[in-house]
Amino acid sequence: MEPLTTSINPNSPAFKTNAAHHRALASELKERLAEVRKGGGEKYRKRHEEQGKLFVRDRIERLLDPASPFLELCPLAAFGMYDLEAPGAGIVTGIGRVSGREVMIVANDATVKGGSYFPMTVKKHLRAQQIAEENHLPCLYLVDSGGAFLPLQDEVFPDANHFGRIFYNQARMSAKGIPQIAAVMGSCTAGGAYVPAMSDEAVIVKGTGTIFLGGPPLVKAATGEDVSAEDLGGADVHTRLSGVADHFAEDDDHAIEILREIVSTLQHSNVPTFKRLISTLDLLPSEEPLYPAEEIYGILPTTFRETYDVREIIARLVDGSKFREFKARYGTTLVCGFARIHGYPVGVIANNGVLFSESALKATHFIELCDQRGIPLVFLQNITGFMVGREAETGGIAKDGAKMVHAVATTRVPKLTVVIGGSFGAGNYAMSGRAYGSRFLWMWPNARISVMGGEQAANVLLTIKQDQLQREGKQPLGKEEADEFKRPILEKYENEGNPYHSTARLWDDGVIDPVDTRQVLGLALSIVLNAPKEDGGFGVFRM
Amino acid sequence: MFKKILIANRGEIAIRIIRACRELGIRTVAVYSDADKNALHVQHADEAVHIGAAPPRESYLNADALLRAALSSQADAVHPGYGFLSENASFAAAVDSANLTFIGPSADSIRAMGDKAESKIRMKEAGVPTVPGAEGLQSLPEFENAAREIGYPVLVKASAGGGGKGMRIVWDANDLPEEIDAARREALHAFGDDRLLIEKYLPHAHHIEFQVFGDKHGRLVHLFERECSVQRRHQKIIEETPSPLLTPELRRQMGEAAVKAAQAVGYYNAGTVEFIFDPASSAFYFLEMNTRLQVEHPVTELTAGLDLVQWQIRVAAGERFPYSQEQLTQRGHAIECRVYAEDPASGFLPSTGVLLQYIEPHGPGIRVDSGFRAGDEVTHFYDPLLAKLIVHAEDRPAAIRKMQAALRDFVVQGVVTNIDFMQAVLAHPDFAGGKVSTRWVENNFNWEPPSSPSFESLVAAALADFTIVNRQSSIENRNEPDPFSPWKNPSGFRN
Amino acid sequence: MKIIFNNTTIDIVPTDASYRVAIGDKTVNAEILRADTEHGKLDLLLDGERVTAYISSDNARRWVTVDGQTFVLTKSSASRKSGSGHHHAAGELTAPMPGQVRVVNVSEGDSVTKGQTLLVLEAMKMEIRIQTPMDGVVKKLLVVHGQTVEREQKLIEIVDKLES
Repeated sequence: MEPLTTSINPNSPAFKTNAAHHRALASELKERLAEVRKGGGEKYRKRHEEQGKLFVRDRIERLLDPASPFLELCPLAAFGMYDLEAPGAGIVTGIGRVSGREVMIVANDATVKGGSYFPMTVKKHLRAQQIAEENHLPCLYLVDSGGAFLPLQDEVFPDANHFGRIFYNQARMSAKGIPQIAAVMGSCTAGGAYVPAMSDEAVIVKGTGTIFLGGPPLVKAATGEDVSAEDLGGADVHTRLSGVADHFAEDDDHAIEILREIVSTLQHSNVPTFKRLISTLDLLPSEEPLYPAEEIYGILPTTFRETYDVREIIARLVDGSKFREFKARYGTTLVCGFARIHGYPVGVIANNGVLFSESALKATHFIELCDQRGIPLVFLQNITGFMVGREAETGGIAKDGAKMVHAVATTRVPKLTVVIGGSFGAGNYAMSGRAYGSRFLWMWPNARISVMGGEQAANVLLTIKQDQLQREGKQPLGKEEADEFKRPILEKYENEGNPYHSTARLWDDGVIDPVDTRQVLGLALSIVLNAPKEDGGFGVFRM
Repeated sequence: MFKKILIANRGEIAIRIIRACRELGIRTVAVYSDADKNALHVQHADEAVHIGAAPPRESYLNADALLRAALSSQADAVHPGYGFLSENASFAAAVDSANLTFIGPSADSIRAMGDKAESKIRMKEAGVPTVPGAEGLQSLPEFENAAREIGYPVLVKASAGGGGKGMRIVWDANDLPEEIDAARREALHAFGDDRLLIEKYLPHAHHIEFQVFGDKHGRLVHLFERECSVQRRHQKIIEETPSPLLTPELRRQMGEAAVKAAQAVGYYNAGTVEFIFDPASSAFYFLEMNTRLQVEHPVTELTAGLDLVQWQIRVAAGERFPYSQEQLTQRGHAIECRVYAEDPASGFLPSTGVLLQYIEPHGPGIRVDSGFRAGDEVTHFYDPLLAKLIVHAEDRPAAIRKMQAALRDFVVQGVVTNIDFMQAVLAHPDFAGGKVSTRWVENNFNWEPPSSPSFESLVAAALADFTIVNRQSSIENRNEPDPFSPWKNPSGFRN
Repeated sequence: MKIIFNNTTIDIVPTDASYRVAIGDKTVNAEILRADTEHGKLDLLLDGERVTAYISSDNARRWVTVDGQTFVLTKSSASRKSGSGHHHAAGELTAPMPGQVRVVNVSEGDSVTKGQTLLVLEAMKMEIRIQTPMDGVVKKLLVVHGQTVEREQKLIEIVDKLES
């Protein structure tokens, strides 16, 4: 397979302008991440550590195999929400390697409102569990939470995807053979008590870990009984008398050691996974791309109006920059082809302009190919939408687009999506947007997501307004009035289409630096291949 | 010249001989036992013949099997190396009878020097100084009289022996009867021959030996001395040349004596005349002659500038040795350290196991003769010699420094070695001062291994557990479906 | 995280790009420059000093060579033997199950030796011997012959001789 060639000039003024713009976006991302990773702030962290407890990120670092990667999920959840009182939504989730085994870690940050559950905390916890379930990852819960955030109880407690779903998921995963292990490293009250109780194996820390359905104040109120937290539901009680927990830990470090030992004894599932299928076929060692990832900053234009060849991006993501393109001469506004990332075979589908009927048909054909061959799909989204106009509609673009959406929705191979630019309208759906069950979806800091572009939306609304004025026999808006009319619409779209608005609400699994994309995809590919391939499917239909 | 040589040996010496043959354009036949099927010497040779089970008696000491291998592979000469059958006169004779050439001295020379008592008599006759002593004694009173005449302490040893077996030091007349009985039993056990001899024991003696070399045309020269006094349990571990003790005059006298000794038995090919040297009186006594190539021959090669093994082959093929005694000189200083798989902390007991890691040092003036590589197993069947590390430098202090540096770069894991022990010897003032006698390790050197592992080694081991050990085990030990997973890279990645 | 080799505990705490490694009261900042898995070679920077280590493993044993010196280390399981996590003082003996006191062998002030049977309970047709886990003196005897006791009820308190 021949490597892709590059035609960029890193010394051109345009490249330098682009690079400066996107580097600034990347450093803004880094700053925001750094801020959020401080948790609830110095004061609460100090109070937390004075109790002999480790900060949530220290717990995770000690739990992980040293120097091993950690793929954090949705680190900017709740960003800008809840009066800025819930950095990271008060919970850290991510995939890491513990005792040589990849696991899902779900850890409460008690420095953020005592680790209580905001609506986004629940959503983030559930998203981690969904990823664990879809990819057969053992779950480790580092519990340190007071339960639901009471002022928002109606957004946390009652609905299908609210608090109760956590325990439902635990039970379902356990039944599927996905280990559920908890370490109680702080309070674990009321509903929260069910996290360890629903786990296959549970550790509890002396002095700080407590589990009870009702805490001492509630007990006092209900029965008049005066009892300390430790005597009501401490480590001694639960490991010696109640049996609610199984292992007694002297401190956080000890609990982490016990967790590591538990993980080291887990057996691999005997489910026929993708990995096993692929290992008999074709896995290779990773090979670095020929061109540096940093150049991505200079390739990406500063606005969506300007175009560039997405192969320049692919050349900086795939092994050896080697890419076997499929139907290169047909439906050229979409690039499809086979490559490897970190040695894993992938089918790449990347936008290179607006979607036409042919582009959609080509994608449908290619998805069928990957489905048949068991090759995971990587979508690189940069889409303003499907082509509009009489010619397109007459050509039946709606039915061709529908074919692509069908293929995306029903393929049995894992899908990974990276929004590398715009994500507008039905293009979002066709390119495996959030609703289409990608195992992971990330955004670049320059990405924008909305039902249509802000400019288009403003123009559509302006046209409707002018029509309305005309019907009412009024004077249409002049240039200045029209701009005044459009401004709030543009602002709203700019604000809501921002990737930080998206990631705060968990419409994605995180905003990632473009230069980390290859690493993130490699780690994710290893994870998604844990799950078995479903039976069924059709043959490859030539479109 | 020979077309093909069978090497009746194993390990580093077999490889050393194969290298010499290759340079001379001679094909090589290796032999191997069950335990050595995949040994390095087998892989180096052009051909290899299986000769029997792992125990030496059934393979490398099995003369019939070796001869059959030589004949079937159509070799025209046999190189015995050292040890095994190299000093077995019957084997040498059998090789000759099979119309093959034995690369070494004549069977008669081997026989004459093989019996300690007989050789001593021959040396006395030839005017070579020997240690005061008596041979051919039978009864206890005879031993007692002889011991009294020589003066205590005395050494009682097996006539047929070597290598320290059946050897006892007797400090006092009262102990004599018991020690003689013990030495007899050991001698019988080790050599099937319980004859003993008795001689003067010199407690501070040095072991200095002379390399001799002769062709079949009457030329016999010496290639200077080797000082081999660093010994443990009568086995050499560090050898060097020149000896820090010899003056040019002493060197000349001893060299002449060595040549005289070899001439007395009509010697040709490579041989070594061993002397006991008493530093107090500068007296030297003939100890024994080894009628073969020595383990420590490389130090002579480096300082004399000759390839002894190639010359062994060439003179065996009838060539003349071209250098007269006057033409031979020594240049610089060479030291050899024998890296053994043995544990100095527990009485130098051999250590067996798989070599998990084996990295030899490299650099100018550093030579390693070895028969192992990583992954090989060190078994209890054979000598635990892993490698010989030899350095050559301009003078003795420079050679010592070079050896210390080279030993530091020698990494052996999986078996315990004597590397740390030899480092301690090299660093000792007695070694620098040339004051190490053959009893020094036993009597004057108190070496203890470090009581606890170094801080750095603990840190490294702990960090390695995640970056190396777990990774190795997950790839090798499990039915790993995802061998190149980026999760295994110690990248420390955080998004 | 803690790892134990040859009874020495090594505490590794990951920091940004490196690790803080502590053994006893000695701490070092360790950076892994290169880990050559195939050859078992680790290039480290320990407080700015370059250290090359060769490491191989067979089961729990680790062979480590640093600067020409080879050590054989044995790894122990990391979990601390913290006992049962029993909250009571070492010398406080409680009833493991409800029953009746059948035998009382000691009185307050008696010296006892480790393993000595102090009381015998009868419960569910079984005799349960209450033995002292330590040498000491009986400070308090809280039950009498024939008394019925509940599970977890304190029976007797033993203290160190010096404390008494």
